[in-house]
Amino acid sequence: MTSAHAPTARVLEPGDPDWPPLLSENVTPPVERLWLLGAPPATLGACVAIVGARNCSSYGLEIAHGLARDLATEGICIVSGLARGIDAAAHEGALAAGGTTIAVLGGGVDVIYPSASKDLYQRVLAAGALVSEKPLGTKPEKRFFPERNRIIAGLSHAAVIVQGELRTDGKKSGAMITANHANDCGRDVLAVPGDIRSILSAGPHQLIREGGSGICTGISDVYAHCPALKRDARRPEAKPLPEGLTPEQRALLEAMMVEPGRAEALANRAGVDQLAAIRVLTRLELQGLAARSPSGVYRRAR
Amino acid sequence: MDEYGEFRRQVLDALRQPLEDGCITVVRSRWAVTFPARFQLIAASNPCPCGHLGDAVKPCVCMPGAVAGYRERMSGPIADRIDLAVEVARLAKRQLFGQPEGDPSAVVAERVAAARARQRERWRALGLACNAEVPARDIDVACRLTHPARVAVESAIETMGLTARGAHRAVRVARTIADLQAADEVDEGQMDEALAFRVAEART
Repeated sequence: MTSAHAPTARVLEPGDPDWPPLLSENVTPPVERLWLLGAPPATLGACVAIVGARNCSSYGLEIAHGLARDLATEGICIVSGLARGIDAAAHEGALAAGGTTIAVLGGGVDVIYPSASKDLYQRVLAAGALVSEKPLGTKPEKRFFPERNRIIAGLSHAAVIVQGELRTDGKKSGAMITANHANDCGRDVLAVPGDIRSILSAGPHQLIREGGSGICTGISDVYAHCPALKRDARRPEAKPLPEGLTPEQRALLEAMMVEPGRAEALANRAGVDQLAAIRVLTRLELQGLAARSPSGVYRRAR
Repeated sequence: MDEYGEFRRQVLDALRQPLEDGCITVVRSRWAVTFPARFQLIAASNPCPCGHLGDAVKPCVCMPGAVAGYRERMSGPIADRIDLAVEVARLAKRQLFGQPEGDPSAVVAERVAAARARQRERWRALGLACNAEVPARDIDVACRLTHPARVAVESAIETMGLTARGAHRAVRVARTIADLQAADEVDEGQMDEALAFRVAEART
């Protein structure tokens, strides 16, 4: 925890012209005050919350980052909680797109928590806002976070849950609490499906199964569920494969579209000889049709 | 070196001179001695501290910063001097037992001996023994790259961010792949295969 030296914080109350109107709609208990550092939320565009587990997987990070980036590109402001993991990836995605983002903190807006997020905190402040209902200087306590999550939900038209465990001890993970709050305030809740073998998928899958949540496989799902975000609801077609590919190139690209993977796995899925696959994958990489991660995972390039 | 990512940075950086020059110079107050240090570096590392980054079954649970810190041990200059990097994925249960796939070692050894013989033959006039010793100057001509192979390595400089050293090393590996297949010229497929062996940290 670090105390940031003072850009001046404002205190907003309902009725203030800069008070975010959505925050007064169905949020219980009502938010009475909001400390604000940065731009007034109402000036940052329609909001969508993207939240999820701290201890997430690389899949979750990538999806959160990608959704945030794509939504921010279209002028949507991304709301999250500045936690490491999914929250941080969501803020980063919005920043990468040059978009706007709001971090809702558990403690005072001048108390950087987690302290490792200092750099991200500064960049969120520069591109958007930090808000909290706790007075300046308040150190975050565990019990503040569940109530903080109702502000994340309340500011947003929709909440997208990326990864979250379903805990067996009766308590709820932060992501699931946010989903509940969003439901309670009548916001749209969407959940990103994951690998059915991963405990991190249990929360989102539960939401889809029982919570009446939408499935989120891309930003077109967000728009389809949430007409308030106003976008012509045409679904983008999957980008067609280019002409003039060899049968092996086509098979390997299609294998990547099923699931990104290492050369060996893709070769097996595509029914291509291992050695040939290594050569073809390099060719696709050189042609800019595939991208290879540091751990050797190939995916179709955007 | 097992668990490359666990060594101290200083220790790893000390490898640079011997990897490049084949010797190591020890300097003390009044004298400096150069020892021969030609060796083959074989190193293994996990992809990240928890070991699961890129695994199809278990998710990686490392904090993002931890992965970057771990992988930084593989510094650019060292990565650039590594010829063959191979990712080893989790074995499926059925692969753990039973007959391994592929040629037996004796057959591979014959193929290697034949490739070494081709190299000795080719470089005899230059007084070199193997592809690794071919100087960078005119390497594309010396190694008999076909036009498409040359285009491939050139475009890798742009798309993969290869350094000049990295590109030259990839050409030598491609030449060796061609020798293993008893081919006179290096074609595009052999060049592509060589490029696939570059270390992630030696790419952009």
